[in-house]
Amino acid sequence: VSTQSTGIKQGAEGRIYETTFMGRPCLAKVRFKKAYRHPILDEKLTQRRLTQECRSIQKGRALGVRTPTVYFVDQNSSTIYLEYLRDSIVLKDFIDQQSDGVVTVCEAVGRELGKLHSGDLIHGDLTTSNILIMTDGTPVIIDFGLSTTSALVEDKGVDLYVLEKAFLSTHPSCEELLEAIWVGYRKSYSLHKKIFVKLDEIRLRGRKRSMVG
Amino acid sequence: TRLLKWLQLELHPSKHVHYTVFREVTNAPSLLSLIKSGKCASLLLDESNIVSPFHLGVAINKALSAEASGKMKSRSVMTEIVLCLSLVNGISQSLNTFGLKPDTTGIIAVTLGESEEEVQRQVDELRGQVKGTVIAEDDSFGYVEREVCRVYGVTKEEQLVDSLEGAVVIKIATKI
Repeated sequence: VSTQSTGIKQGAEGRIYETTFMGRPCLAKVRFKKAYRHPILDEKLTQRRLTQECRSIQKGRALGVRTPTVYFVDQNSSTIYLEYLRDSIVLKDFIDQQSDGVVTVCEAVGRELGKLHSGDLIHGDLTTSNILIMTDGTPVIIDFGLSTTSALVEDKGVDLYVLEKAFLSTHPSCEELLEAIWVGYRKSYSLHKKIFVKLDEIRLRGRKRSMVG
Repeated sequence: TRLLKWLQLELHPSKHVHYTVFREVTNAPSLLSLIKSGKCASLLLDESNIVSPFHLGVAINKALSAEASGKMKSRSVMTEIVLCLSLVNGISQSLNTFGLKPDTTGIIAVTLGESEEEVQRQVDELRGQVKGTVIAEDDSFGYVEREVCRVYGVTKEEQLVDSLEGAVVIKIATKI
């Protein structure tokens, strides 16, 4: 990562720097080396995560979902250089600001999620911070670091459950917005019925839920 | 003549990268023999499959990084750039797609150097070798959309999601 970058975020997996790529705004996601792991294992795991993330971003686009484009993947430093979409705000902020057309936007978000699931792409970390809204209202899905491929109804149900939990805790009393997301999801994923049945099941399972009875 | 088409590659600050656009080229066959005899220091590419300077830069960046880490798949940086532009790993096939053909009329020439003077010298030499018009102004490349989509496997859906450039760049960047 060049010296002109500024660190802007740090997660459990790594750090994100804001930089430029051929003059364009760019985000460099650098994955940490986990010292507590065996070095060879750590190397292999990090590389696999890296390739999975790239493959998933690509797959998302093939399914018609807007994602940031990738500029460069540096396997030596486990860094991904991605397009930094500056004309956008995080869905979380969009909702908090009570912007106009928030229901329509949420429905559009749901439609994108439906596209992902109809292509068996599981995001793995759906929160309102991992969805960007561009100035023209187009949703952009970001952070495919925990993404996997699965045809299982269970996995898709869990993907939505993660979003539901995150959504309702970050935006309490916004149930109608979450419902709008589901409306959009149904419109683009024909097999949604099975998923929502499973989602009901998963809700009953959940944390602090008794499996007795 | 001042060189204007520099590519700024932040990850390779010591390298000077310049591209020159030639149109209405008439001596492609003799340029091909020039290349074969190793007398051409720049990389000559057919214009049809390169969408933009950014597209070109992403491939060059990848090639320079491979060179810097000793992980090139080909013998020289120039052939590595061709490999990086391509989605296949074979150098022959990649050259077939991106390199010059006897009937090529639009050329994008890539010149690398450790200093601006070195690049200037090579570009001056290049201008003597290529019989065609140098396009100095606008930066739009004369690519053939249908061809680019075929070469890079870009579907209509992918094109709607983002620009053609974005679709192509991600495929180059994520190719192992």
